[in-house]
Amino acid sequence: MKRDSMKCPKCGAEMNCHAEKPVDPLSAKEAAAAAQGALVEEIHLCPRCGFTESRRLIA
Amino acid sequence: MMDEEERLFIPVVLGTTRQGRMSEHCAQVMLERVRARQGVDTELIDLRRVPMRTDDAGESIKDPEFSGQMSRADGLVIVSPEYNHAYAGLHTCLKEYIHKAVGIVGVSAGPWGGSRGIESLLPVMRELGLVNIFWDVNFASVHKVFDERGTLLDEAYRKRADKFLAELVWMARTLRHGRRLIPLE
Ligand SMILES: Cc1cc2nc3c(=O)[nH]c(=O)nc-3n(C[C@H](O)[C@H](O)[C@H](O)COP(=O)(O)O)c2cc1C
Ligand SMILES: [Zn+2]
Repeated sequence: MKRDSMKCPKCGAEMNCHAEKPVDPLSAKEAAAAAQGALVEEIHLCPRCGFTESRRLIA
Repeated sequence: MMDEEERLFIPVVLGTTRQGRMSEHCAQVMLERVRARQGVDTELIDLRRVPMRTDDAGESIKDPEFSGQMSRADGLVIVSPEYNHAYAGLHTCLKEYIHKAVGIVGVSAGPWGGSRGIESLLPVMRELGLVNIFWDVNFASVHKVFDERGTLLDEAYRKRADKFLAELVWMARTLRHGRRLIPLE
């Protein structure tokens, strides 16, 4: 799957997406979107400074 | 190579705030054993000192010190007493847990070394995204394991703790490598 990369908000390096965790919707908007596919939280780690960032999206 | 030589951070979480808790002695033993290992840093995370806010939700009640420690952690040792055949401890949902190693130390007054508590904690760890190891440490009949000053009376616990930590360190190192360098397909 083609995935949008993420830049580390601390140091600007390209982060590594190492996990996609299924999550439950927290709003009606997310619930409606989740009905079209799985709602996940993507977890990214910065190999340079170790910072962790995540984003929720529909897989 | 760099990756292997870099120090790991594996804190010990003391999972009960009870006055008179015996689990504190168990946590001290685990801390001593982690400190005895080369290449691993540790500290005690005492849940008594982690504020638990009830006046908001989600990200805004994150304790910055606790989430900073979790962000730095490559693995966790959770010391969890058995209360009512279940686990005790704080399990806030943090993205910082994902793909990190966890080992559980059970503590009980009864003869099973907190194993019922551990069994009930395993699926929670999985849901948090932590990776359980297949070693536990079981402090059974804990009042007989320490004297009244908290001195460990049975050397076998140190050996078991060291075996448990060898597996935890391997898992922590392996997962750190994966978090940094192995992208999800
Ligand atoms: C509310 C409560 C429930 C408990 N339930 C159990 C139990 O189910 N099985 C057991 O072996 N011990 C049980 N205990 C005893 C604890 O295992 C005992 O306190 C032990 O010393 C470990 O916990 P501590 O760190 O609080 O001392 C219970 C203790 C409390 C306070
Ligand atoms: Zn960075």
